[in-house]
Amino acid sequence: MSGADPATDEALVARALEGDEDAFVALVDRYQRSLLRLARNYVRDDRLAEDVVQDTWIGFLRGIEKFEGRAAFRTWLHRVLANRAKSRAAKEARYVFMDLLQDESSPIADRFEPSGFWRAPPREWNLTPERLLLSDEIRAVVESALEALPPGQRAVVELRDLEGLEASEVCNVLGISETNQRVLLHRGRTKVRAALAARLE
Amino acid sequence: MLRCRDVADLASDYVNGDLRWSRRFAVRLHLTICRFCRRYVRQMRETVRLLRGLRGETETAYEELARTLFRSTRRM
Repeated sequence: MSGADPATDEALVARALEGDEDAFVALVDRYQRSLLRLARNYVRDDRLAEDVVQDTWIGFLRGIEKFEGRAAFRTWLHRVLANRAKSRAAKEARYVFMDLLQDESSPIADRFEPSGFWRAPPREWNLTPERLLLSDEIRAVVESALEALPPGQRAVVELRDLEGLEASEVCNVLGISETNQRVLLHRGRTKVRAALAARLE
Repeated sequence: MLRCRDVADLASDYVNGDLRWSRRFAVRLHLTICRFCRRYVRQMRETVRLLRGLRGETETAYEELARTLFRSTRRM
């Protein structure tokens, strides 16, 4: 996107539905990656995920799902995708259904004494500013930690931290409570931190 | 008084600024006396920053896909 003021989603939506192809291209460009990421939390197969995202766009263009402006467009779009992915996952044999709230204790519980003090305190990270900003090594650590998260945690971390959605939007998209959203975000981030610590301590 | 374990459990909300003021205050107070928790919170903040850093990476262009989709629905 060049130019000072990129068009708002809502402006692009209106134009796309009036037949403006470039406006549609801009929307796809803006959200395709994020939708693919989200779809992969429901269906672990890349081809299937691409399929679901494609169907979501087609549904949007044909007006099968209508955007009525009650929520922000990006919230609406991600929710439509999540619903499609969920029902697709239920039909396919190769699905990994999103186990949003699997019962699991705190990922760092074993680092504390029963008294609640650190048993294994965090150690300082060996991290210079250059290494932090530029390193492919660090990026790879974060990416593979993200990849290894259970789907529910991964979906929340991706939507909040990578896509920049608000907590309320994430609840809306995934159909989860505020409390669950916080727990999933906390657990996911905690594991990514632990992966970084394993490399950097 | 919060224990270290409580602070670690609140760290993600704390770096978001999502805590009620009383909770936030309690965490701050603990951080003034506990260097391990200070370190932990700092690392959590770093983690979130690194996650956000993954945001920008887009090399794939979806233009062709988008145009194909658009034209296919127009023809119906």
